[in-house]
Amino acid sequence: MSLTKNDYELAKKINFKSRKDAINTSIKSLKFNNKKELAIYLNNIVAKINTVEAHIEDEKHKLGAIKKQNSLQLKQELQTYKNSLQKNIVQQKLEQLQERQKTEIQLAKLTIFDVDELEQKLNELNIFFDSEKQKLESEISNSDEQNHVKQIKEKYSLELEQEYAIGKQNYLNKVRNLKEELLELKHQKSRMVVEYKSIKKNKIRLFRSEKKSANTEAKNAIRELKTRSIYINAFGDPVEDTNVNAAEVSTKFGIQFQEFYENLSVYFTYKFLGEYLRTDQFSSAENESFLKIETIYNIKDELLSTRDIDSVLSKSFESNGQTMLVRKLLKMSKIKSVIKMTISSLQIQSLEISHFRKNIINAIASKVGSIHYDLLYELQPSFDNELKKIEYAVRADHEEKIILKTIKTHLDQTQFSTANKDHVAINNEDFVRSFDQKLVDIKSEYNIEKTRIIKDYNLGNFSKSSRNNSLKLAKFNMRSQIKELKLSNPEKQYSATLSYFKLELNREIKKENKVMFSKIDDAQRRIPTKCVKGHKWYALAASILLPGLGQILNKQYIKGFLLLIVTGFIAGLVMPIVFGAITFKGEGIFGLFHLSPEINVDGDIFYLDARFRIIEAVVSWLLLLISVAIYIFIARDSYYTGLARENGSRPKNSRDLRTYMTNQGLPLLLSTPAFFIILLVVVTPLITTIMLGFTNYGRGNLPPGNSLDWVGWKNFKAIFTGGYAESFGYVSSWTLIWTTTITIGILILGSTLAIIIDNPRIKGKALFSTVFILPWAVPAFATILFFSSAFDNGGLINKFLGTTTNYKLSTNWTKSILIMIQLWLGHSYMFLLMLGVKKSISSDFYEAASIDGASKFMQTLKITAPIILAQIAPLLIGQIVFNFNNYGIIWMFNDGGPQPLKVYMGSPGSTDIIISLIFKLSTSGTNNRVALASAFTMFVSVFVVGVSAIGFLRTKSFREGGQ
Amino acid sequence: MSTITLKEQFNSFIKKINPISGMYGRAFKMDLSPAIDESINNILNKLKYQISRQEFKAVEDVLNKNDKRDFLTLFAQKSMKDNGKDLGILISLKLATVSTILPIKNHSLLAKMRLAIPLLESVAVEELYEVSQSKAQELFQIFNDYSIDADVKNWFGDDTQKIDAIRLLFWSRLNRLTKFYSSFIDEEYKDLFVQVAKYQCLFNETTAYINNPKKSKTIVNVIEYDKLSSRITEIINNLVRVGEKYDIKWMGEYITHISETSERIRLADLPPLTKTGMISMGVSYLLILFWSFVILFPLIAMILNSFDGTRVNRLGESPSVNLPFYIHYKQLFSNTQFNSWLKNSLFVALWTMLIVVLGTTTLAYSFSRFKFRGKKSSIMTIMLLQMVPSIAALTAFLIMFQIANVKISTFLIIIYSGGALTGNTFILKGYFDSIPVDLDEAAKIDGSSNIKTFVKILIPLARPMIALVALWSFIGPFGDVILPNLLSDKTSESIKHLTMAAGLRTLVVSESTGGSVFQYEYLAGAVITSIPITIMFILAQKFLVSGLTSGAVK
Repeated sequence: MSLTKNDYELAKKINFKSRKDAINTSIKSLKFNNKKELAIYLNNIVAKINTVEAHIEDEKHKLGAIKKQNSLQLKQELQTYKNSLQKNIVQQKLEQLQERQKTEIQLAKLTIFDVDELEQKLNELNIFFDSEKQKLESEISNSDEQNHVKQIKEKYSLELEQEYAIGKQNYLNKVRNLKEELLELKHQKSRMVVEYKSIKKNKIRLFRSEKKSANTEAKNAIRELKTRSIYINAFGDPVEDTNVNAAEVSTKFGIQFQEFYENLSVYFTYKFLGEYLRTDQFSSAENESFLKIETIYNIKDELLSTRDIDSVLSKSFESNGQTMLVRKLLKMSKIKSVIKMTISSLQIQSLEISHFRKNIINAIASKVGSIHYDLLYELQPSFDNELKKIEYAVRADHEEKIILKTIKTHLDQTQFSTANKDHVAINNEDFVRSFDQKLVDIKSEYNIEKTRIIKDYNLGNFSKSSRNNSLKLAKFNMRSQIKELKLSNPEKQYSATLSYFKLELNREIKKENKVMFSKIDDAQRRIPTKCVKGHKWYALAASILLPGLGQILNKQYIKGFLLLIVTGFIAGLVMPIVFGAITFKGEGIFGLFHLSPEINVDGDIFYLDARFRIIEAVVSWLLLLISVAIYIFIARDSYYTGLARENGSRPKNSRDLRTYMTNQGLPLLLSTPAFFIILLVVVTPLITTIMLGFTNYGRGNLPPGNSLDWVGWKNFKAIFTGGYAESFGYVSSWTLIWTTTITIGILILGSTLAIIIDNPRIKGKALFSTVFILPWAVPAFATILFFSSAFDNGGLINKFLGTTTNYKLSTNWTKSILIMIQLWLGHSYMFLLMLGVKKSISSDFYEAASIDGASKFMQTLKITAPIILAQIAPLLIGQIVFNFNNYGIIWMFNDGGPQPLKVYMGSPGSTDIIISLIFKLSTSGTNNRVALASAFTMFVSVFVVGVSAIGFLRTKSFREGGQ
Repeated sequence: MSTITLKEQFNSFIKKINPISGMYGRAFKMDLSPAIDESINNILNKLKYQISRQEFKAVEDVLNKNDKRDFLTLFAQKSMKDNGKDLGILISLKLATVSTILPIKNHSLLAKMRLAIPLLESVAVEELYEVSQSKAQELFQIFNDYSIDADVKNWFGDDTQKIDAIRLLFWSRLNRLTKFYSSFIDEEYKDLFVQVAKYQCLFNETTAYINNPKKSKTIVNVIEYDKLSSRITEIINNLVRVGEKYDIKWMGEYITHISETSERIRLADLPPLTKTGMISMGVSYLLILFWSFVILFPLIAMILNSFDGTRVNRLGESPSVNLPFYIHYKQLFSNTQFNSWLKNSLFVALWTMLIVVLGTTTLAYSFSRFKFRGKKSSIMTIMLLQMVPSIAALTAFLIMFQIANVKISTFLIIIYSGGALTGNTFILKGYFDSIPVDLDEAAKIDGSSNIKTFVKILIPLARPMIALVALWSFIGPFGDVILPNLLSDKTSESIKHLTMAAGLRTLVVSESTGGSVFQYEYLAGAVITSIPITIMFILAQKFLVSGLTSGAVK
């Protein structure tokens, strides 16, 4: 068997792979060994450093101890001195003196009987003792006790300082030594590290070069193989010749190719200097493009060397002689224009390069059959530069344009104002003089017109509506004339023109900005980017690790930053709530698993409130779902952006983000707050109610204080069996009567009134229709509560009719009054609706019918009724649902009363409808069965939503909404 | 002066409330010059004191009813050359000819005419006397001539014998008069003037016949109608011919003036009512008046009772005190928590309105103008969520309120706005859908961004609907009793935190049996609350219909 192409390739590949593996393992082992050695060494050094540091610490302690001892001695000595102070002795003396004084005075009192004498004696004694006292006190104050203390202190401090200085000196010496040692060790360490790194680097470089060479070898081999395959394709399969050398093949075809390939890369690295160019291997067209590049380079050099453009430009501008501002602007523009021109030449050149590159690639492609990946890879480094060049050129161009436009506007403005100022001033005086007169003229003209119209009307020449219209027209004409007059003020016109210049400039600048950004974006789209292979996986991994990081890896910095903030918010606030770290009387998502955990306080058992735990769990689960969705979205986004980058497209920048956010992304941005409100207010309570339907929440174990448990479908079973089934059945019949009577009643009432009012002959339509919507316009609670109190026993109605019926105790009375009140309240809505629908019916139908001889009654029956019914059918369903749910009036009027003779479970009143019974069960204190009520609510809701959905599916807004 | 304007105002008011006025307009094109009217009025004023009341009334009636369109006087006015003496001649012509018109429709007028004719004739002669004495004498002789003219006999040939004598007499007098007065007018019109007189006679007969063919006592009974009408057309044709011949500008107008069959033209589009139509109109008016009474009676009773100063607690109790009529309003402000209820309600209502308007406009805009994945399903979801009965959430609201530990009003804002968001979004979305997308696109082509288009184009166009949504979300919190009542624990401190409706309910219903109630204070509060809300509602009525039908109706 001959060696096929595939075998050959496989063998080469295996060879290459094994070599690569060997190199990799050796690199790994090297890394490992070196690391180990270094680690041991470093550990030793660190240990040494630690010991040195411990020494330093010891010395510190010693020094501290010396200091402490000295201060203690000082204190003791001071204490002993203080004890032996003179102050104490003097005090003792003073005390003795006082005792002596007392005894002597007593003695004097006992011995001397003459009063005067005694007084004298006492005075003498006092004077004597006082003098003695003063003596003693002066002694205390004069004593040099404090000097003593000072001396002692000085003495001690001298000693102390000396001793301390010595200790400190010792300490410092020791520490210095130790520190030197430490520094040396650290140096050693860093040296080691550097050495290790250099070794590692060298070795790795060595291995890497080896790897590279192996790689290139492998590549060459593959290329050889390819040339061979081309050869095979071109010249057929060499069947017998098994020893066909690839080199031989390449001599025929491949050498040319290979050399061209090498030269090409060299060529690009040397920036297109055609030194190594071998012109004989290219076609004439390619040659031309090479030559072009050379000439472009020459032109660029020339451009950069000349300074003539500046002078030429400045001369041309100065000849006009403009203001300082303009000159400054001109200066800037000159510089910019020079830059711009050079840049634009560069741009042209880069475009030429890209064109040339395309040519080459096409040439290769035509030879090889497909573009080789490596070739493109070689070419890539120039892409980014090219993009930068284009961007720079565009920006420079943009700035120059804006400056030129500013100058132009300024010139126009000054020109305009110099030309018109005097003219305006003269004209304005004239205008002001004549303005009032003109205004008066216009107004008087209007008044004349008005009187004429009114006179004509009074004569009966035309109808009222045409009078109103002509009056309106006259007024409008007058206003427009006045406006025109005001606008014809020359000063105003002048200033308006001036401000128009500014406006125009702003608009132009805005337009230029747009053009610039669109050009840059266009270039970004056109020029491919490069990135690491497998980038998408890195981005994905980064985003999984930290949502938002992947976007930053994808060079979407602003987006990444925003997403990081979102991540921070979720991780910092939402996740703690979800997992129960931050709680409001619950336990996060885990609250559902232990509805009422018991807690033991001083031997008493309490239960945590299950309701709070359920509701918090519901919110937590919703938040968790949203967070996970956001997490997945971020990861997905970073993956797809990475993929796109791998395919060569640039990542979307902040401008793209802004465009997205103001276009397709706008609904997302706009509806998020509303979405959250709906989630909190509508969805959460609904789910909570569903949850409560599966618990045993009700009388007997009402939280807080009692435990709740999951009871499964028990509540649902209780609805259909047992006592509650009976009471629900009792309530249902009245519900049916209530709903149908009201709906049909208001339909008849409303449509009758609407048809009467719609008759063109009826006068005072506005007045009557205002009266007819009053029951709807006046808040319902006001009227219902008024009726309720008016029908009280001994209330207004009995008083008015002169009867003594107790309406609220009679079932039939209450029922009929309720129906009448609701008809009174509800017919306005239907009336207004019918009126609107009736007006919308084209009068052509009626005309056609009357031509065919249909009577008014037939017209109503065959035209009005079917059209109205078809149109309001969905709203009628809405009315049915509304009346079914309308427990407010029943509750407000008589709270469902009166009570029937038979007592049912849950004690429904005889006018209670289903919903009001549920309301009673879930809110009343004595009959509280919340769980049962929740289960029943669910059951009823399914029915109600089903009925309403039928109506809704027929509506226009739904059917159009989905398109 | 003031009495006259008052009278005019009263007349215009009567005209306004009259259902038939405004349907008719004046048919006549031309008028006598005001000077003639004025001098005739002066003459009448003078006459007033010279003759008896009965006579004066007769003169007035004859002048008012007989000659409304002034066939001859108008013609003379237009065709006279001599302007200086016009007035006297014209007045005498008018007064003279009035007495020669036979009142066919109204025979009772004949009696009055017998009284009025001598007076009118004498005045006519007097007026002419001032112009020329000889002519006046001539006129006097004509008035005294009661013979039948030969010309008149020739009008219908042999058929003339069938015509009654009175008619012939009247016609003859008229004929003679016109011949006499034609001496004052221009040469070219003289012949026509006589013909117009004839036309007047024939025209009166035909119109009377047309108006009531069966009962009228016209000459159609003896002479065929076609003959009469052909004579009339003959005269009209003559008028036209002469008008064209001498290029008389007023002739066309004059012909239309004299050929109108009735003095008023029907302006309304609707056909005149039939008898059954009249009855059904009457029934309709009765029905709507009755229903207005049914609606207004309780409301007025509410207002009146709130001003009852003689009763204290319960509606309908017997009067016990004599306090001023405003006492309940005074006590409402001083003795109840009405102020804080009002403050709470306003706070809740304003915040709810703000949130709902912001939320619904943005949501409706998103749903109306953008295409995105899951749009239809999200519309469906929100719509279905909205349909779930509100009772389903009550227990959960109570629990949430206990957890949140906030004021009742704050909690109510969140609940109300969340509830209103879902429903109103779709009404507004429907309205946005009805605004053509072309407008947006035009704006976008002109360089407007999405947000700018939304703010500058869609929101102004949808302003009535947005106003309606705002109004509803504002009114809602004022009327809700159930939720605030459920959230409050009925202590006096928590009653202070209630909103209006629930707060006012505490005045009507005592929580403990036998507790005192303040139903009159409640009525005062209800009236104060209802009036502004009702006015707002009625002002928004214009948009209500479009709001109801645009969003929901297919």
